[in-house]
Amino acid sequence: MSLSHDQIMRVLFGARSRLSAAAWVIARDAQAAEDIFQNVALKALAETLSFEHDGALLSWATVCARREAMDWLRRRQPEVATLDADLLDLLEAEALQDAARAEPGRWAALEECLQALPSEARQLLEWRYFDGRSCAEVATAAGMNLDAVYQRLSRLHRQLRACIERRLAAATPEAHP
Amino acid sequence: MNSGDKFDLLMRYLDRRLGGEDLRTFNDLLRSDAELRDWLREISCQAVALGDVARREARQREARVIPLPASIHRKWLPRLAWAAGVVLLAGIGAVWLQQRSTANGPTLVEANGTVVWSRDGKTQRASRPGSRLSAGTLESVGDGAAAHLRFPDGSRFTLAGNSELSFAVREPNRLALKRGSLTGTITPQRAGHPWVVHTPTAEIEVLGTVFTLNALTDATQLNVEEGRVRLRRLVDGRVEEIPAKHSAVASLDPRETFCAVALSAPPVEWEARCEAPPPRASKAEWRDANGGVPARWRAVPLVMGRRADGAPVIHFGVSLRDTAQPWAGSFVALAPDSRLTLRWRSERPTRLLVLLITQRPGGGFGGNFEWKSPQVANAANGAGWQETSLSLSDFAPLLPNHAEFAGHGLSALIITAFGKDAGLEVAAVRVDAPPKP
Repeated sequence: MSLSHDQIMRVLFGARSRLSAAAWVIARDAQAAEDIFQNVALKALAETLSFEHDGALLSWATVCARREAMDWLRRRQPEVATLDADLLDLLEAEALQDAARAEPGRWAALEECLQALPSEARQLLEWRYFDGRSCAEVATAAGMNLDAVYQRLSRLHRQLRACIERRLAAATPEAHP
Repeated sequence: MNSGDKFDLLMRYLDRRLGGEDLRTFNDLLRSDAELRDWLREISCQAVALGDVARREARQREARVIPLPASIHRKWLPRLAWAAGVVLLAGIGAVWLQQRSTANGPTLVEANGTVVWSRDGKTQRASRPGSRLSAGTLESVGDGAAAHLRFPDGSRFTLAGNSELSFAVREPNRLALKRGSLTGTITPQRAGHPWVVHTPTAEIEVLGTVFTLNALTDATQLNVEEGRVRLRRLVDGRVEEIPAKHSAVASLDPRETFCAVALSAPPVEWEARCEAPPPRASKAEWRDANGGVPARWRAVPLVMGRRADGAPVIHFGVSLRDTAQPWAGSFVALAPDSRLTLRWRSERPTRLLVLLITQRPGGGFGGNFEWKSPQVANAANGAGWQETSLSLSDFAPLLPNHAEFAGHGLSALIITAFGKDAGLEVAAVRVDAPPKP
């Protein structure tokens, strides 16, 4: 029996972060990744499509998100290339094995870590990932040079990851014999 | 390669600045370096999450500015509590749905031409992509103007041509199209919570579909591209379900036909008939043939936008639509090898600006494309008609998100001499494709 519309939405929303991240790796634009996820959700409900199980739906959604991201990039910046197809497959396979990265607890921890950042660092991240500015535009806005923006973003990503892992570790109850 | 160098490559890839040999090196490095792949996945998740957090905070900031009435709190608090109790997979979807229900204004994704936002007598230009609009009225001024909006639930709308749209923060999913053209791509909505769009003569309800509304003061036309739309004619309350690839008109006259009509594909060739006045929805002054001069259409003032001080931007030109009604759709299909040929002249030297306004096959806004003549043309002598033949690839898209026209139809063609009255006249317009070998 095919998945109902409710089931399709539930499965897609469950995989939302992974599908959006897969689109983001290609488009490298958070708004575009969000749009692509929503387009995929809309397409999945088309009368002409039916999915027998969650796996079939997710495989289709991943391919669809990737294709839409490539189309978006081609329309927006045809001169910009993306990763080789085999690498995208590899990243997707690893993302499937690493389901913990997309779980809600991790996202909540990220939110707490963002709140704890100095406002200047938050601003830099928002310019880059919410406003979708290029690093050169961020550099101009922040009065920095391009290399300094790369280094600052690299440090912030490392800092956020360390913070998330600390918070997750603190929230995990210790095992008792 | 040390860790710093690897991160530098990663940052440059994410900044879309990596190409050629560097990109090949990065691909090879990723294949062999599991830690680098792990960082790429980590940063992609962080970027998506950062976008979500920033969007939600922006909504919360606006929600604090305009408090919800108590009845709304009563309505939504139990649902928020329910959402808080739902975990893991369903939780993400529930959060998304709650975010949608507390929707505020849309984000301006892109704009072309004059787009003005106003509220309580205050008016300002809305042109910066990414700017968030609060409750108010958005107006696009001029045939070539367009604004592309995205609401917090992901639903997208394009306001095109001379159009006016109002939206309120306190009534999520409810819009009023006072006049003009609105194309909507609605994300799937929960049953019982449709998007509702009002026009002077109709009301539509949509739960997830692609549609276009064209509103005049005395009639509204609906085209449905995907899904189904419920259309209510206000004059007598009759309701029709309009399926995909169909159209219907709701006017103020209850005796008029009110039913779904299948959309038909336009022809692949089209030629303007200058021997008669242009169709009602066109703008040009018709001059009959006389003294060996062929029949032609002469440029008239066209409002192409509005300056910051409110004064209209006028171009003298010819605006062609092949129908009596501005909404009646595209009149010729555009293919990648289509050509546009103009026979024209001017009394004074001028450059030409040609604007194509296109529709998708289902009637939705398909994008605007322009061509500007590269140099000042010589003034024509008494018989000096010029022929300009253009390939569609000569036209540049005015909106990056609407950059393709293959498969679209042409709904309006505007030929102007920029700002001045150069005595521009057009004697023939043809769109066709070269014969296949």
